[in-house]
Amino acid sequence: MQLKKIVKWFPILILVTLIAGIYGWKEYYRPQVNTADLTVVFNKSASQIVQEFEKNETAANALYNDKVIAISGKLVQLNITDTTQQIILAGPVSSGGVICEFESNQRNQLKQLQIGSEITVVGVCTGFLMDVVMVRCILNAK
Amino acid sequence: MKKVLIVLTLFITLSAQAQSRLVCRSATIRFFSKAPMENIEAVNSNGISVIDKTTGQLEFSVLMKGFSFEKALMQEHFNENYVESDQFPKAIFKGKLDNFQSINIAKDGLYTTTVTGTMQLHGITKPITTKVSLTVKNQLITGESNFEIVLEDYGIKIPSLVKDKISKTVLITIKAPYQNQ
Repeated sequence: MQLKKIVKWFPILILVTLIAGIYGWKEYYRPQVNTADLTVVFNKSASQIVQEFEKNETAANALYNDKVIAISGKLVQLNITDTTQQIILAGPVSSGGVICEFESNQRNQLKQLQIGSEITVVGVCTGFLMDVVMVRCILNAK
Repeated sequence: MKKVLIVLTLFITLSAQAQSRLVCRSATIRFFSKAPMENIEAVNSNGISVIDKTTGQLEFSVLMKGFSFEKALMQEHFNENYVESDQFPKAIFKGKLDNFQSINIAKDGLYTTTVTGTMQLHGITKPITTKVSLTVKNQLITGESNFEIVLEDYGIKIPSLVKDKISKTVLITIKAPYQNQ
């Protein structure tokens, strides 16, 4: 009788263990999501978002950190090195700006940008140092 | 003539003040932790740092949420369970480069010195001294350093379930190219 019960439940136990194992494996090796596949939560100008962080950093952190934001502004600096793909958008006069870090696959597109041009960048906000910092950025096709 | 001299003096003073700092807005900070199960590593390329050229005072800040891991789950655990980035969003170092005056930033070369100060991480501030190499090229400085921190010193707790699988120390490597400002 006991053996019959074990035989009956064994396949179900194996199946549950297998499903849990596959889920755990997939979750552990889950890659970073591509920014292009994420939904933009806020649209802001570089000056607006810098002013908001300067006015109340704690409130701005709570509102914007980890969110996908489209930021528009004037390109003032382009830092492309062996390890870095970074641009800076101008903030308000005599203030910080917005640092946008790109993935290496954006390198060729970045090289074509002109200093002084108005651009829109989509990325994930990580907070504020001297500037607002955005990571995993992509250039907006608009 | 007197007015011209005053304006000229003011201009020279302001220019000197404006050029008295070296600023880096793209410092790369890597951390690496060797573990039996799997090595843990992450990189952040958006650290900022300022050096006062007259005193050698150095400040360095980095956003914890800016560390990028290959695996999304590892990044989530780092921010939520270990460094608690929402509560403690920045790591900050404040200190002074020793013998900075002896470094001739008009002359290209590789200089080594130490930096002494305090580092705030996870809401805890600890004194720290580490070696720094400064490469001078065309009057610009690139600073490089690496040092180990003990997670427990900064109140970063490792869950008991993975205690034997995660190293208690982390190697931090920094590279910061500065520009005159």
